Amino acid sequence: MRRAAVVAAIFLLARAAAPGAMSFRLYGAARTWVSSFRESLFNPGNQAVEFLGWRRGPLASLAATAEIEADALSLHWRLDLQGSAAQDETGAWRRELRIGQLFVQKDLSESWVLAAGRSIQRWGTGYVFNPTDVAAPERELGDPDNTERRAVGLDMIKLERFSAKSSLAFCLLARMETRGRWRLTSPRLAIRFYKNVWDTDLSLVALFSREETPVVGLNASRVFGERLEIHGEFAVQKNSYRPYHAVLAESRPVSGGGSFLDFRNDDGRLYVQGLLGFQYTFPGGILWVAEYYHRGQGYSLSEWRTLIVHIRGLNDEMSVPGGGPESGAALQGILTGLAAYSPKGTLRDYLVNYLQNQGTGAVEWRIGWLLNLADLGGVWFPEFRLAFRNGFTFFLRSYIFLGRGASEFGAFPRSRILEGGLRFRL
Amino acid sequence: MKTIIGIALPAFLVLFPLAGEGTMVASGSADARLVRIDSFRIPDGEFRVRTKISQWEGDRLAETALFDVYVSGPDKSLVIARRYKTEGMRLLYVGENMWVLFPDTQRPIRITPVQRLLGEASNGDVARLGLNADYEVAEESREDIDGVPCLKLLLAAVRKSSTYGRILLFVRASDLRPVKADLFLISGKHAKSAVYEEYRSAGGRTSLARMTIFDRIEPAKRTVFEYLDIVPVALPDKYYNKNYLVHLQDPDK
Repeated sequence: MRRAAVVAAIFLLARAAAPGAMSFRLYGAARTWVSSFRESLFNPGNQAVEFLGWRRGPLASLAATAEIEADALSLHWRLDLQGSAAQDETGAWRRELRIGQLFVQKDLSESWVLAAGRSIQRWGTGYVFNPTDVAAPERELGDPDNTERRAVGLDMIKLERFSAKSSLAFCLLARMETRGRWRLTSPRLAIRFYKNVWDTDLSLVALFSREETPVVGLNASRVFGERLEIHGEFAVQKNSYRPYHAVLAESRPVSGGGSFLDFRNDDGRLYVQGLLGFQYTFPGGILWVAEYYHRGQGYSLSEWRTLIVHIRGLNDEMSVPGGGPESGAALQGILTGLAAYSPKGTLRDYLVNYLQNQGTGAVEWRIGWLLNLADLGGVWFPEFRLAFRNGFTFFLRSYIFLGRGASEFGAFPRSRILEGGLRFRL
Repeated sequence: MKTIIGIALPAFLVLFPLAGEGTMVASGSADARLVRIDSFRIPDGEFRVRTKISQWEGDRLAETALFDVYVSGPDKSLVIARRYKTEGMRLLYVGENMWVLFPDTQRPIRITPVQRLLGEASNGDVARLGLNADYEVAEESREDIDGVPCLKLLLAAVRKSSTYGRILLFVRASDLRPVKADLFLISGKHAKSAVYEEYRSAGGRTSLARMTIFDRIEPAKRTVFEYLDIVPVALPDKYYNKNYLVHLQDPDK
């Protein structure tokens, strides 16, 4: 937090010392939400929720992002400074100051552009799942366009050559460690070649790193007729580097419940991610976006069932007097390991849909749902927005988790989140 | 409520064709009448048009907006919203391809012709920029408008991405200067009408200075276009590459 403030201050001082154009925007949101919990596999007898100290709410958060763009010293400068004060699930307040983006850009010639710093590079064609977004943070299900500016970019140096219908980008990525001594770790090289061929956007993408085998991918997008756009993404990588619950590792004994290991990082298999989707505009301006997403690295249904058996065992332990805390901790570990706080799923095959009106005045709405094709559980996320004055929007949004008891979304401790608030743009 | 963009920007870009005369002649397929009609609205070459758009609902001014449209030839244009609710929004049109980059996002989105961008606006409304590039004269007759002898030209779309299926265009018989137009969707529905109200002369050239678009469904709503500025601006090719939208250095800064 302190370092982010220091960097921002240096940026502003440097900007003040040099003449040139500058623009400033302030975005923010005040929100409050309540959660509904249910007894489920991850929350037997509501014990997990009690153990974790989760509160129903209402909880609240305040967030603001200052976006500053400036032209000085023959460079284009950009800073997104994100500040927030938010309650976590237990109701405790956490303050944070982050640098979402901070980069300088130089147009070296009519064709070459150089950028250095922290930035968000969206290369994929998908709406919410992006196997070829190798140089970007993951999208949020409820805000895939990052309109609330919660995404934090990646640190990189990017060199890109543009021509009329093609471009070639090289991104040297590294993670900037700011705890203790500042240093760059995990260097990676991402490459994209884009070309418009027969009115189709085609991109070849690759990611090279020391720690992992290369990722290679392809994405495409094309419009057919007046109303239909079709897009797809494909990426493949040898070995899987995501952690899996130890109960799935045949050679490793399981102790406790929260043990996750990346034991497939040398299995020699090819893991494929693929996405195929479309957007269609109905008469009246209603937009329908639908995407099928396959994540080869995800849990198969049989693996999920194995995990469920393990969870049932933990539940049985929790029902024994004195056995609660340890098993509760194990459940917490599983929830965390499955990234269950993020409702984008952890299995292999999903169908996501968004239906929304488009800019027909002050009132906008959207309804989305994510369906796990293996167990037919899902998440619904309707949203209503009302714009008023200039730059203010009231919003009401909900996440509703549905599914049978042993399904991915049916096992969530939360059954519903209702969220409302006010966004502003000044 | 229909917004300015709903009627104004689409109609502006369709009725204010942005293909240069020289370019059209050079293409070898130009209809001489359409080339002449287009010449009342635009200069030759690459340029920027700054346009103020005001939407009226009866006697009430509902909204105003300001757009810069950078044009390069008959098939490429870049629109930057200077003053609007999505200020900074960038629209790019290259041939049959259309993309939009909203100021809140980092990815240009491929868009379809009828998909709405803002208000009631369709992408297709803004996608096709020139009469001469997109339409051919299907029928021709004569008719007087307010006592002025006019040619009545029925223009039929020749490209699949043309915004309208037909345009009924009235031009002065003496010099082919546009007087008014009726715009029909591909479905055959008469959607909008345009009146070319004011021309100005400068540098030996007469060009359109103001026109008004009327919504056929809600006639009380009208949208007024004022062409404030047309200046030569030649942008490098990269400005018409969709991946450059996120890097775009404002051409006017």
